[in-house]
Amino acid sequence: MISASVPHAAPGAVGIDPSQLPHVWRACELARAREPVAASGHAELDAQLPGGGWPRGALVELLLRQPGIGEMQLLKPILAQLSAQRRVALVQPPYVPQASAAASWGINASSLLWLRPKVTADALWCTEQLLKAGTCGAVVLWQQAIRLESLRRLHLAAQSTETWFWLIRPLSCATEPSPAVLRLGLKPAHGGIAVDVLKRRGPQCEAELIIPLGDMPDRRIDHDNHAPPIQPVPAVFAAGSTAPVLV
Amino acid sequence: MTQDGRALVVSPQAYALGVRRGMRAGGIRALAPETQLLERDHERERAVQDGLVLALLRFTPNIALAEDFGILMEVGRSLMLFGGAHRLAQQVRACARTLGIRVVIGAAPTAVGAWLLARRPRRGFEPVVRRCLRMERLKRLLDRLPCLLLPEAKPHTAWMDGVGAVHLGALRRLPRSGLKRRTSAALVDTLDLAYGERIELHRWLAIAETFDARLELFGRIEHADALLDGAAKLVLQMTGWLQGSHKAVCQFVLLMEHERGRTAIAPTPLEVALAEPAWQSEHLLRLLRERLAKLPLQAPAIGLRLITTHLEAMVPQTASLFPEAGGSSSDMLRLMELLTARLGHENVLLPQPLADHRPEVCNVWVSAAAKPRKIEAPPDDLARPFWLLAQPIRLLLRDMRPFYGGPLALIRGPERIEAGWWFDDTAARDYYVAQGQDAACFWIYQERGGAMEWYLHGLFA
Repeated sequence: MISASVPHAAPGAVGIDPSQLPHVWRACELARAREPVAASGHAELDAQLPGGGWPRGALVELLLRQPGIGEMQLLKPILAQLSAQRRVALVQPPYVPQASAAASWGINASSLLWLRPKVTADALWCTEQLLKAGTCGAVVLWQQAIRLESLRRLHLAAQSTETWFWLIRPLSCATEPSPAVLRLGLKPAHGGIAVDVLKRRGPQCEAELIIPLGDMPDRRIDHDNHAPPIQPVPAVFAAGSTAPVLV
Repeated sequence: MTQDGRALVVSPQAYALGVRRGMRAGGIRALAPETQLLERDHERERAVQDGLVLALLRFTPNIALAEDFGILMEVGRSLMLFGGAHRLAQQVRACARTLGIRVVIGAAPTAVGAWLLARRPRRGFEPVVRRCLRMERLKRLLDRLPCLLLPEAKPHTAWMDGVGAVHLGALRRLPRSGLKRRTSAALVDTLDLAYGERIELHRWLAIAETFDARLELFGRIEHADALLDGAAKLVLQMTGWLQGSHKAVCQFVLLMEHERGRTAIAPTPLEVALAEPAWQSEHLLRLLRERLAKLPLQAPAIGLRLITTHLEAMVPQTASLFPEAGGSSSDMLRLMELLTARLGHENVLLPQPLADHRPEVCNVWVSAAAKPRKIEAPPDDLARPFWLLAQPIRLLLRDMRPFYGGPLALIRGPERIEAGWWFDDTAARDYYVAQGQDAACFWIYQERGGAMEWYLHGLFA
């Protein structure tokens, strides 16, 4: 009955694949990014990010189990790309950034800007100013505890600019709500970093990604076999106290 | 407020009690005994007018003073620049409002005409036309204005009443020679000027060479950030003056004057030096806001004074057709200044690595306000951790292994660094890359000599 009432379509129109249609998004697909994205430089990560890279003008949260697990190396390709033309601001990082390390990674060290606000209010204020001014290519902010209102404010400030913005927080904040468009949980891994996509525009990402990082020193060591990892330097250790076992 | 014993301006509270304009002081006291009567102070009104003139220089350098605290501005050639007469009037009004002044704006092709339109009385709540741009319309408008608006007509009030000349139009219809004989030549001249029949000549105010403005505050202000409102007025005057005189400021001082107690207290200075000459209010105000918030005041301030100490010629920016991503370098300079004003110059840092093997010596960060030097290349391209600890942490040893959260395994090294003996600051260390049980990598070193302690110095991030 129905087929009788439907006028005959052109033969070519019958086999249209909905996935080929623009403006049709299916829930099982990753969102198409409206804002421009920049490739993260890690193919495994790009495959899981909507649009295939870090979104510009949006709050992106990186939740770390602890600082110093390869989080800067994860950002290395994009920071190297952005620092060629514009400044990269580091707001309230937990340790002293080493410019020579950045330079050896191909980041233009002279474009780094290190801000050391004393209190959280100042840190949020200067991040907002950096985002509003839009003169920096990237802003990375480190915070321990941050209120939801402040997060929303930062997110709004980020939306109006041409700046990439990352907020780095402890992994324990993963349970707290956040307006971020992308939230990644980062854990240390041998020779790289383990990334858990906690929130993205698109379906849930179940698997934990292991992103290999080239400059991360690594040697797999079985800690249980009691191999003393110290390679004694003759000038340092008196011979005979422990038998040196090289691993 | 009273003038010559009669009320001139009445506050809403006094109006509610029945006080009206023109009442005598005795009558006001009888109606509302608690009313405060203030005598009009021409001296201070003149000072306020001078401040407004400075701020209005941003619109035109041709400004003259008119009677009864009128300000004449010649803007005919820059109407397009400010987006038309209506927009310009809005901007002038906003400018005056910032200074705490209410203005009535009239605009006309002749200065006397504009002055008359501005002084036109309002009848009830009807809108009053105060702006016209064409001569014919101005003539029609002027014809309907009362003669007494002209100060020159005041001595001849009785005569004009006698001949029935109430409006300017009626006055102009009278024979010219007779009018001149019976009234005064000045009145006829003014009429000609208003109707554009004679060329107006104005004595434009000379623009001062340097800027030095003072502002009296309304009370004793104890917190420096509460001074921002007053400072904003002075900055508005300064930027107006800068634009009028085509200058840009590099350095200025804001002096906070204190009440004279038993001994005179020197005013607290707040010096602002700019990386780049500026003449726009917003940036200067943002800088002042941050600086004032951090300034301690020893005594309450009662006055503000703003002095420019270093000026340069204004170099207008060349605007590009397509905006660059990330803005111009002057945007960045302005942002740096703003950040430095709030955080302090020791907390806005740029890298300035030195060619030295000791990481703590090599990794130098200097204030963004300092003069940039050439960056020295690091001695070798060695693997260095991104994070460095400001103060190395001494590590415990367990089972002959350094311990930090868990036993550390040395996976690379040693890299021997021995330097600084020529400065009596010898560093003799063996650096290793160590890995914890969770695969996080650390940069640790062992002191050579002494207690051979292990230290954590960096994190591979």
